[in-house]
Amino acid sequence: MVAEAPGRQAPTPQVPTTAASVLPGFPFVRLPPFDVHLPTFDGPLELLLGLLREGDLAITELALVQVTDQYLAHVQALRELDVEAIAGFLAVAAHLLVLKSRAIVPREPPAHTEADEAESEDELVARLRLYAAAQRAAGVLAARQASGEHAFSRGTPPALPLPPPPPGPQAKPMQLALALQGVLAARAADLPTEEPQLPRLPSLDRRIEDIHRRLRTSDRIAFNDLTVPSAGAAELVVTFIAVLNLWHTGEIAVQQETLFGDIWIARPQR
Amino acid sequence: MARNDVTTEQDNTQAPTLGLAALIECLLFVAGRPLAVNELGRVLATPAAAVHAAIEELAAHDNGRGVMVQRFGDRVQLVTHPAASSLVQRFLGTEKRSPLRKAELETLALIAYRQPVTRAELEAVRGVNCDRPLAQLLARSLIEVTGRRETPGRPYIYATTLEFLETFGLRSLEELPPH
Repeated sequence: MVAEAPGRQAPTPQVPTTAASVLPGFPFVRLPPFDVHLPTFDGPLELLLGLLREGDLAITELALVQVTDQYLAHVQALRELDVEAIAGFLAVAAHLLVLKSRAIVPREPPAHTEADEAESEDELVARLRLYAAAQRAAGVLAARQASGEHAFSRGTPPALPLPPPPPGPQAKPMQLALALQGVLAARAADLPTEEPQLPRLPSLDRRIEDIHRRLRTSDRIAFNDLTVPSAGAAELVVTFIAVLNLWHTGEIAVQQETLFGDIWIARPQR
Repeated sequence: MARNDVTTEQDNTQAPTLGLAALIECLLFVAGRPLAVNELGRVLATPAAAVHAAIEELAAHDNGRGVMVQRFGDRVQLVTHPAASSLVQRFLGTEKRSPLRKAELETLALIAYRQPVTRAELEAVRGVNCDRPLAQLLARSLIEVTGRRETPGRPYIYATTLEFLETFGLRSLEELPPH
């Protein structure tokens, strides 16, 4: 792991020219070699952890101070990395140097108590601990992945079998058309020959006329009186749409005094 | 404690010999989907604490069984035992997915430990860009965006899913090594 880091090659002009190819006709354009292989590269913390492991050191501030020089030596070797990748390494290097300077230069004993000191664990140490734990967990997950330990829930959809390829020789368009006609002819036999009887509905126009006529003889009519109680839902709907239409065109006024009460229809007040 | 009878105080015809854990097992079986603890509590007319205790009991007694209890946050579901995974896979005819790479597994483990977590927080620990592992994990539904952190930039926060526990045959997050 650690050894990978210094050996990492960046797809930059430092790539050995032998591996790079040249775009035909454009000798000045150098393509990156297509067999460029970037090893999985897990950053400064992985390097630090590796160094601690090499030295058989626990993750503590003191141990970090001990491996600072080795870390810096590794960073020296990383010069060919791109800026973004190396920034993380440098940030950690700076942090290590602060730790080291603190360890070398004796400080005034801090004013606060030891309990406070213990609480304020170095942020890098905390990150390293978490990272080390995540690596362990990743190892556990990798092992489970390798042994295929999957737990299935009821929701797991069974894979649908793919439809088998059509048998026989490839059909021509005309054959397909004939086959379709055959299918349709077979279905036609099953279809009812008589036209289905649909219930007769009063037309919307008839309903509107009806409402107009009734408003000529009475001041207001209740919506419920427009239909007989035995009227079906369809008739009710048509009547309702007729009322909506008339209200929309301003030919009637509509009033409902209470919630779910009668809807009263009257000539609009002019 | 969890063996108290929820049926006696209610006017229903449940056999009074079943304990709360067994009743929960019934519901998980017919639901066929994860159930939330408060959903179970509502159906069973039992306080959430008692439901939790009964789920613990149920989970503790699934040794040697073909199904086990999987818990994530306040959700519970029944899943097949991971030891039977190749059999179930053959039965269902599901394809094995390509394995996750190291960077993805590390990112996944970090999210499991620190959820809900932002991308920046992950990158601070791993020390490298996490865009690609995150995209891969999202595509496989092993993690999901659960919201945004109310800090400048309102970054997305990520958490693991039940699918994550299923994929790795874990009963709960507690089966990961402690951190």
